[in-house]
Amino acid sequence: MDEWVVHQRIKIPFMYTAGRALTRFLEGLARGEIWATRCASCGRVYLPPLNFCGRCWRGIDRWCQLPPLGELISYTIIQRPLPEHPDRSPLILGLIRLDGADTNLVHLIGDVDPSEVERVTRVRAVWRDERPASILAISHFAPLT
Amino acid sequence: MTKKDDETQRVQYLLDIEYHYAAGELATRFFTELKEAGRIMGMRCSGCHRVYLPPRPVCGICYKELKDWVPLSDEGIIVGCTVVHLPFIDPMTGEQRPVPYGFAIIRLDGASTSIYHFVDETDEKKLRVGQRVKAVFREPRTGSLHHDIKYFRLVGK
Repeated sequence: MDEWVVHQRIKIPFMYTAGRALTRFLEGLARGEIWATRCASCGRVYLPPLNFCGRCWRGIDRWCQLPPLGELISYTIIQRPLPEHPDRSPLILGLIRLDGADTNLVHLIGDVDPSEVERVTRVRAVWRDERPASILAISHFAPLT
Repeated sequence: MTKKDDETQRVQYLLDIEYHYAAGELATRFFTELKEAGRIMGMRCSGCHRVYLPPRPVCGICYKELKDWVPLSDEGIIVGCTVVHLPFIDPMTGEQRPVPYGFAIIRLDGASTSIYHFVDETDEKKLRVGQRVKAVFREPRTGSLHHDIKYFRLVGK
């Protein structure tokens, strides 16, 4: 008897409220701007922005705009995209530290062959023409040449 | 992404997970019998004579390895039931079923354990523990307990 394979599927629709800081971040992205928060106590710059500094245990209400430029800290090459990923492979997901930020952002790395990505150090955001209030207002990050 | 009347963004998302798993030796036989013969098979323990549905490799009471297959009836009794108004996700389709629908834990005649299934009845007064039910099959069969049996219907008192 051939081995039986069971095919199943689960779909989970959900919604979350982005909160004050993330709302401002998302609305900034729709305008082509990247906004971070800076803790008044330790000076750490959070991107994506947080309303609260977990180290200093205090609220954050200072905002600063960051340039769409940064450093590629790490990356992974995805051979089998998940449903929420763009439907092509391989994909490169990068860990990006924008200039001035103390935390990292995950985004797609594009305009580079996966075999070449190891050499990439500096990246820039490539904006979509139609920008939603979403991290996908940035299409991907491309090597800065 | 939508924005309500307050100042906060609401982010909508859909997690859509399709998955496959290898059923293993016993479930392969179970699903094959169901598909090809429309037969529901259990496994009997040679020690305590319990009949397991779905089949399993070892008796949970005697720790004996199970080897004997037995055909079970397509009729049985309700041992637990509800009418669902807030549906869970049906793993056959990934979707929620239209509500309301009857849902029951059913012990088939000859089995010592129970399965869950849908029941073609949404009147709480008619769904009772001990009520007899009979499987209604769907053609063509695919070898899925929750596809090949559409639901169970109540049978006469």
